[in-house]
Amino acid sequence: MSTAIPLDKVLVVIPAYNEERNIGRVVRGVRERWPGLRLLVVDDGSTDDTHRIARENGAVVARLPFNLGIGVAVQTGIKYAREHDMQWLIRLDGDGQHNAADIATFLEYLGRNEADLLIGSRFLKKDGYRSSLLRRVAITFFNHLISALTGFRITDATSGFRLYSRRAMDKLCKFYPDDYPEPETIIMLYKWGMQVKEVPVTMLQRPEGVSSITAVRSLYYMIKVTMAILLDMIRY
Amino acid sequence: MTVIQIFTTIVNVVLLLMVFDFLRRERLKEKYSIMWVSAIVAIQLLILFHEWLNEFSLWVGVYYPPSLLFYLAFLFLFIIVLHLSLVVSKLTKQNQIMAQKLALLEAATVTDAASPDYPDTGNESAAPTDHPV
Repeated sequence: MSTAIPLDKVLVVIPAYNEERNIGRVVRGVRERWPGLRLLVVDDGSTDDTHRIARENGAVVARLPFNLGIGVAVQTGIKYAREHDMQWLIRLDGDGQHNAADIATFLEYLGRNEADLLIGSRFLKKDGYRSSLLRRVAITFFNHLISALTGFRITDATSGFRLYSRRAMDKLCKFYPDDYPEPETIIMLYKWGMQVKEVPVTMLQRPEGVSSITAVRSLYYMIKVTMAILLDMIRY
Repeated sequence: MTVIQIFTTIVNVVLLLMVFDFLRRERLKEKYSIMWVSAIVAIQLLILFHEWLNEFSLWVGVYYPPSLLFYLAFLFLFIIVLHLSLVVSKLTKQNQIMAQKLALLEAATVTDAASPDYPDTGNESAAPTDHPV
């Protein structure tokens, strides 16, 4: 890894909603491995001890007064990054699915300035957790839809393990989808003339609890996001 | 006046008094009251001069006048509900922005005493909300 990377200009944002069982481990994992990175946990109106545990483990916590959804939580992190003059933002899930070791893969890319959005794709290498069948159907659908519309080669459109450049943040602080934002943000960046690339990461199965995306919601999710993507094509 | 005309007129007067009372107690914004008062006036005119509806229906080509009335009433309510959806969407957006400001303010003021080795990059003085206490 190049030594020229200004680590104090990289903010790690961990959105979390009722993750008191996982958040401590996730925060410690990042801090132990990357003590030079700044770390913000956005507590999305949790009703449990998420914010206290995150703070005890050394994170700065921005606490939304009530639950507003993942999009608003991540955008809070983006606004924080801009207020503190950060140049890059790495978004990492608070449930332990994303591996802190993979941050190295993102950091290697920083100096090259090749992309405004780097997506950590679980499908670029043949290991780790591949998600449930139902989710894989949705992921494949969005990969094809987005690749067809933008010409980017996308293999993991719904991955939330990502790096945003300052240029992307300057736009996303004003416009960010409320729920299920990941596929849409790719389209938005494309419409703003920015570059999107992928890097391989390994995803883990959630150590505790269940994912917020249930089977019943999947159909609604696909219809809603498809509509939003098509709207974004004429909107931005 | 027929019985139904007297009854509906009484209902209208009660509705009008309700609107005025909400206005007086500042529970209803003036701009919304205009719409409701207009609706009440329109209904009252139709109560008093219901032959207008018959003539107007025939003139536009509707041969069963009540169906025109239902259509106009439905249209009116549809537009109001659509307008209120717009208002709710705007309030949602404003609420999100306000909640984010609060969260960022808290991140800056609730001390990170539990994270003493949080890196101080020394370039935070430009951000007005950072460590004001």
